[in-house]
Amino acid sequence: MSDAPARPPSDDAIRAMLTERAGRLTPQPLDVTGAFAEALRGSRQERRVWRLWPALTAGASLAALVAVALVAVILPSRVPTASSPPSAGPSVVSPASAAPLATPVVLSPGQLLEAVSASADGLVGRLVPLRGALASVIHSCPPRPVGASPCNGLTPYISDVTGGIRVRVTDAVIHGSESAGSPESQIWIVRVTNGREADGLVVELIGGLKQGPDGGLTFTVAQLLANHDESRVGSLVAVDGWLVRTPLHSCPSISSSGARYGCPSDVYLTDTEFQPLRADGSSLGPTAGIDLPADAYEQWAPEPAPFSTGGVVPQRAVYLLRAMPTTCPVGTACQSFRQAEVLGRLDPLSDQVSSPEPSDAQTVAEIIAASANEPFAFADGRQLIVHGWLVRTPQLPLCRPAPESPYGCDQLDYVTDLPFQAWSSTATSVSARGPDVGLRVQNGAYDAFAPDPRQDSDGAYIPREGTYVVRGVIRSGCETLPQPEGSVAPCAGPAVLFWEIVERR
Amino acid sequence: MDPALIRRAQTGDVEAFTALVAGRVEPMQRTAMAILGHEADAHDAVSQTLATVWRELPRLRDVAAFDAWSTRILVHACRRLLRGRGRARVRELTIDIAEAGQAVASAGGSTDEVVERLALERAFERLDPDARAILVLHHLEGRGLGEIGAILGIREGTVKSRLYAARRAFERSLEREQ
Repeated sequence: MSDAPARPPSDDAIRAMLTERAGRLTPQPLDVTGAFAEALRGSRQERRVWRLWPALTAGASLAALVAVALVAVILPSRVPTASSPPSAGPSVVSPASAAPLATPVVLSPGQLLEAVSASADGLVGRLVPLRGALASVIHSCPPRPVGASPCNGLTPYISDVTGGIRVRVTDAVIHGSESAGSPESQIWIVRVTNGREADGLVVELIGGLKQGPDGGLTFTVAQLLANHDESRVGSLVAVDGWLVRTPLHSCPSISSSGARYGCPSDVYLTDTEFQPLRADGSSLGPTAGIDLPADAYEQWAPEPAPFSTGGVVPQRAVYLLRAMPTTCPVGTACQSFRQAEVLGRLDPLSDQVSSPEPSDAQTVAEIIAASANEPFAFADGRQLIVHGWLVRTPQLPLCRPAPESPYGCDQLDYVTDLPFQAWSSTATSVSARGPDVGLRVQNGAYDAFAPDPRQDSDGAYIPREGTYVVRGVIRSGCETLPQPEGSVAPCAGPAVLFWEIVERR
Repeated sequence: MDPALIRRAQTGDVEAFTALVAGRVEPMQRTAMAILGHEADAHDAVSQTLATVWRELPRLRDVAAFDAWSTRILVHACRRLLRGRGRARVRELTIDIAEAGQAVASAGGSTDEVVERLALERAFERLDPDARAILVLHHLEGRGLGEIGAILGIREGTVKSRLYAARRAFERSLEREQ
């Protein structure tokens, strides 16, 4: 340590440090096998890897050749024998891949809005796990033209502190998911649509997802088979497993309504890369698997690959399953597998997602005026730049805040167009009030973003002028109110638009 | 970059792809190493970047933006590695005279210079991923504001303010070393 004042580092010093730091990397063959293979596995471009291999052996150039050739060499060796048509001997099974599958990330509403915004229509149709609370906003119904769909006065959103997304709730969700309509935050599966309404993106709600036993996103097949709680009809689960199909076989002449299972082929989801086709052309089932509809492989395998001899290459992915009532084809013995239908795959989203660039600076009054008619349209993840004064009150000890709310009444932070003081004190009392025209921002915003945050001699915080990046968030209006003694649950109430400062310019 | 080469790679032409990235692997490794400061992580970042470039290349519309686009992927990968792993292993090196002496012997320069460089690096290790990335792009790679803006997907003015903020954060971090 030294008492000398800190000397700002020169450009040359920074450059020298970074150059030395970068130069410490020891040249070695680039090991891209793990990350490269995993990143490509299950992607829509996976087939390109296989086209890559033979072309590489024809010879290409240096460093990339080393890198990609490693993939080419290792990838086939990573593919167990179950991927190949059987030649002779046992047609069973390699252990499950030791490497984890690149699983999708659970997004916040704000992240999904950014991802959709950045990808144009590239995500339309994709299933996405989304964490947030599902709540309905009551609104008035406009006059309905003849033939238009009825308006029930409720607009459902999935929202959290990062924003809110309007969802379209289907009957299947209402009747199929026990958790539909939960005001508590949980993981939902939504399908991205190209639907847009006045208040922004609309996604289709598939249902509430049951989380894995370890709190993760996915189950294994074994975990599902061992846990009766997850087998309730309609339950939605994500399963990291291998999808496989037997060759076609004859169907019973009399079919029950469950004949879509097991006829004209058996389709399973298993924990191991299972090849049911045996060398003699017959097939056998896995020791543990979930029974899926006969067309599930062709419909949902990432890259369906049939052998000429009748089998298929097992395909690993994270599949979204809905538990179905177990049925057995007439004249056959019931299998021990549970039955499910596949609703889709949860593929990782591209990581080429960047935040939309904020617009030019506005005043608080301009933002409030713009959001007056459609307030929730401003909770679509967009970022706005506002130039104004940021201020907060001291802690207000008499108010019991809503649990874990960033907008609790024990502190009030605002951005205003004028140097407004939200707190006043006299010899006998203190009081707090909001500005006539102001944006209510998250508690702690002043301390985090105000330039030179400071209190005056009376304890009031000095308003600080600055340019702030904000975004709208949908919250419950009751979060700003004092909570009853003893309450611990999140409060429920009408949705309101608050603001969150994300950056100071 | 040859636009025709990129377009061929977009169609799955392997030779074109290998030619496209052949000269970029080493610079990518240097950039990743400078940001991450950890060799295995740097290799991971480059591996992930190459995979993503290959996978996403067909969707790249503006082939002229290939360099900025691929560098952005690299920066994303570095950022994800740093944040995902919580980077608890901030290297709190103890600067003693013996260490400085060893460093002098291996890297050249006076003891004071090496001590200063080590302090700079410790200060750099405390920066968040975004600050590290923008400092590396500017000071190590010598990229201009417009170029950095294209890489990070932000406007030039924003680059300027973020670069300023990163420098200030670096200085504050360095003050802890004084």
